[in-house]
Amino acid sequence: MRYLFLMLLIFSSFALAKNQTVYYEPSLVELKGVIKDLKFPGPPNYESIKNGDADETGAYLILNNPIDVILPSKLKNDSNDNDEPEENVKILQLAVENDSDWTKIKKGNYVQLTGTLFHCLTAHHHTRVLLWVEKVKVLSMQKAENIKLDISSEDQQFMSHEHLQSST
Amino acid sequence: MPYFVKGEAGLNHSIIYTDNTERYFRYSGGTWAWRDHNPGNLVPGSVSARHNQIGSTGKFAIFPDYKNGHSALLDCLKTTYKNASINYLVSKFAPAKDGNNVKIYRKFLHDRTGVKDDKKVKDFTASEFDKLWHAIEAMEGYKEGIVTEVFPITEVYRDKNGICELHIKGKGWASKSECINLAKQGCLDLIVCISHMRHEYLRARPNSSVNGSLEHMIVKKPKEKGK
Repeated sequence: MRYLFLMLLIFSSFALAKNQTVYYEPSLVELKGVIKDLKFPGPPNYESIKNGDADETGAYLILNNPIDVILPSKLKNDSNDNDEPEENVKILQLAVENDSDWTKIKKGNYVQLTGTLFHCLTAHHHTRVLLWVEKVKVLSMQKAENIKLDISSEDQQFMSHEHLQSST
Repeated sequence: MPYFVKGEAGLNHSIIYTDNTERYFRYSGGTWAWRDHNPGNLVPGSVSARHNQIGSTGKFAIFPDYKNGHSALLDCLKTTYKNASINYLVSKFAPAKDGNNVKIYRKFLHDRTGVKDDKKVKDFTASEFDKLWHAIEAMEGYKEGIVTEVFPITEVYRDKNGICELHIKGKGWASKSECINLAKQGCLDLIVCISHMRHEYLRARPNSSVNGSLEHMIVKKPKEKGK
């Protein structure tokens, strides 16, 4: 009986820890997290900036909690057939619609971003899922510098091929 | 006409292709775009799957030839980015922080295509569209390297000091030192290792399609050379 109770307790804690589920484009999503700058090597060899590859420093959102990203229930004209479901996503590479928003997307800022999610498609995409940022709301400024790169094991596995050069 | 049916990541960022007659070819040097026949540097996914993707490096999709990789890039431009202007396309295709990369990429595409406004890709003329993919392929970096045939090991003979002779398919028996040289030239899919006594020895690359573990190929009787 005691074991049964223990099993139920473990099971319920897993059930409670279920990730938030969000949809790929064209659905708008609102996500909160901390901005981090990550430096990856770009063309031509995507291996080492020191050895001549382009510097692809980008802004990334480390989410408060991991999300599961699923396809819209009914594919619409503006949905993307490259998108595929991903679970336990904790980090999103940011693609920004308005250049002026970069003034708010600063490392360490705690932000709420509104936009659409899309799946990685090119070698310039360094996370499984990316966020096309349409609106930025800064919740607090540069208080979370030097935070640990806290990402899921699935994210880590994907990024193991990306030759991360540094993170700040 | 032989064609590639499988591609896999080899040593030192090379790609090893298997053709339909079970011959193997290593693409080394040059850029990834050339080595994996992927001029758009696309990652594996549904777009690459539609264009006969035959493998993955972990990061890049591997296509059987340039034609398929090129078609995948065109497909991606005509579907995923059909409603994009050049500025929007670059921000999504190659996002980066507000550094120079995005600006350089945008300027390059504007200059090469002659499209300076917010015209959508789907509205490009045939000539502008041709210039667009040419420019993207140039920006991604398409540089040729070297193609080397890779020969499988079929049997090995070992004496009291370890593996001393290896049988190379189509070439016959060769000494360990000859094979070490061939492995260094990329003609064998073997890793040259150094023992704690500073001696070189060979072992198979894990998950190689070319040959399996050398330990599983040991023959008991020495073979006559040249056979």
